[in-house]
Amino acid sequence: MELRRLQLEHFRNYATLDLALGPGLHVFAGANAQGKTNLLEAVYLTAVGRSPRTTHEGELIAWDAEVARATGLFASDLRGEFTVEVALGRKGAPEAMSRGGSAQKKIKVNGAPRTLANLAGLVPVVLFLVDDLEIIRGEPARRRQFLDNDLSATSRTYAWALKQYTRVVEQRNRLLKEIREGQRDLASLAPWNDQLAAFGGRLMEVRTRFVRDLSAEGIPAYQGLTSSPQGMTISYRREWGDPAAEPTTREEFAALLADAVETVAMEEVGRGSSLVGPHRDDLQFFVDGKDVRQFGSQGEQRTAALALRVAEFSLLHRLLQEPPVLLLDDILSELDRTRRSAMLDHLAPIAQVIMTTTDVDAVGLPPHAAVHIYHVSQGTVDWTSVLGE
Amino acid sequence: MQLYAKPLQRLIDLLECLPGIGPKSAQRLALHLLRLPPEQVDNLVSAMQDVRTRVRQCAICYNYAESDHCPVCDDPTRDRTLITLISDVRDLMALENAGDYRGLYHVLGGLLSPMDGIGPEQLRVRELLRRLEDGMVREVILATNPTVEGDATALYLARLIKPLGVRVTRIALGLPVGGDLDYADQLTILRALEGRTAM
Repeated sequence: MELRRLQLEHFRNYATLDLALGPGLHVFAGANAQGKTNLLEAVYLTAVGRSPRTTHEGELIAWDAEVARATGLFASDLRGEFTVEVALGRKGAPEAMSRGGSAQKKIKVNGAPRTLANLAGLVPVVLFLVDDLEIIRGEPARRRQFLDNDLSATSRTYAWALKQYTRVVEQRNRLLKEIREGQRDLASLAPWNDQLAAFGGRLMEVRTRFVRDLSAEGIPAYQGLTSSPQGMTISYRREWGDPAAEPTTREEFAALLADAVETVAMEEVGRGSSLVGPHRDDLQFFVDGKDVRQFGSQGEQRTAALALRVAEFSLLHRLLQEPPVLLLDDILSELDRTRRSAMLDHLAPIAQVIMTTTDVDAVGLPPHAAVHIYHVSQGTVDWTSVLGE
Repeated sequence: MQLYAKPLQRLIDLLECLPGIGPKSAQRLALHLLRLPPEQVDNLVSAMQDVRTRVRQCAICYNYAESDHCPVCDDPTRDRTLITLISDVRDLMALENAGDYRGLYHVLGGLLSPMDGIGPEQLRVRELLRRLEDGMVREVILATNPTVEGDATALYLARLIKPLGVRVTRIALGLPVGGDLDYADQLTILRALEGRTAM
């Protein structure tokens, strides 16, 4: 997959932008707060249909405009060329609107209206953010979100099952509180338990298969970044149900969850909340048999976060049979120069790489590939140059 | 800010409270009503009053009716051993307009949803069980929507009704008739595959 052209109108600090891109490595350089990350955000928006940075998409509309538009012309080996346009309009009457609130979103693929769900899997991208460290180090919810984002972006049925499951958990939690207050009896849980198990089974089947495949890619990914023989493995972790059970199919997971729900019923009522199921599960990252979250150094955790994204890239590449577009937001500053070069040497020949940096000289550009450098200043790309070729 | 003359603004505000009517539509409707001939306005007013005074619920199935019983329950040619359960009167109309169904209905008046404070007591479940008491009914068809709440309601009722020795079925989910397989969305295809039947 390749982004060939990016057009912006009233997007964040860009009044207009029309940028032609091609294969290879694209480096957007400039001082802080000039709009480098806004460009990556725009690419991500046209690929996935939502901002990776905010849920208040009104923020994406330039302060002096009513509508923002981002259009990407993409090309893939499988589909040929196509455009994705995302237009965002302020919600509500002009005098009542609050700047930076929610936005009305219209998506078009090749000019025809599409829903967000239609975009699932159309343009594969992998975005590296400095904040990715939190996937390794942060709360379990952050890791579940990582899984759910990836799986929802590639499978509509996963996105649907997740939405249904989330709704069941909300309904069930409310019911548990009512049971605790004595307003309803325990038997009223039955239909919600059935659905918790059914949708939960679907989610866990897909998640465990994905994590197994991701773990296989994590070994070479970590080795490549550290030039050491140790790889990173990833495991899907649940704290509930029979620890010895190793379900693989949706039905087996559903049966396990249905059993677990029965045994914790009284505790759930006491706490007024659903205590078992995929919404409580977690990921664990191991390097050399050691849990990176608990026992890794800061440096190992950073490397693990990068390795996770590289593994994600390799896995999506394999599953979709074409390389995703790589978006790197100033993350290479975390690696030393040799590792930076090693990473770009590895990725740039396979995929289109779009990255930001404050210091081009420090990037460690691979010597053989064509490198396009763009200078970003106050919402404009004021000069470009090409190295190599 | 400029407001309309008070009576007109009051009408706009009231119209805006109706489902599906936003501020713009409310203005358009109110201005249209203002320009209508007086007898048409009177007609509209009396129609709205009539609905309040002359329409009530069928004592058997809770469909809307002009007398104690709705036309479906009053129809002697209907199959009284078959009841289709729906959440809302609109669903009854949809099934009825499909034309082929000859059984009776039961309007539940909603779906189970703890978040909206709706449990079995808020639905017409007791009324349904009473209809099953005499043993005349041999099948209940659960025709609630395929949403989390619709499925929960169907699962709840199935557990309740099955022990009474009544056959319980769920309407099929799947491909629209006359549609091409390659045009159906993935979720519909998925559910159609899961609900496949033997031939």
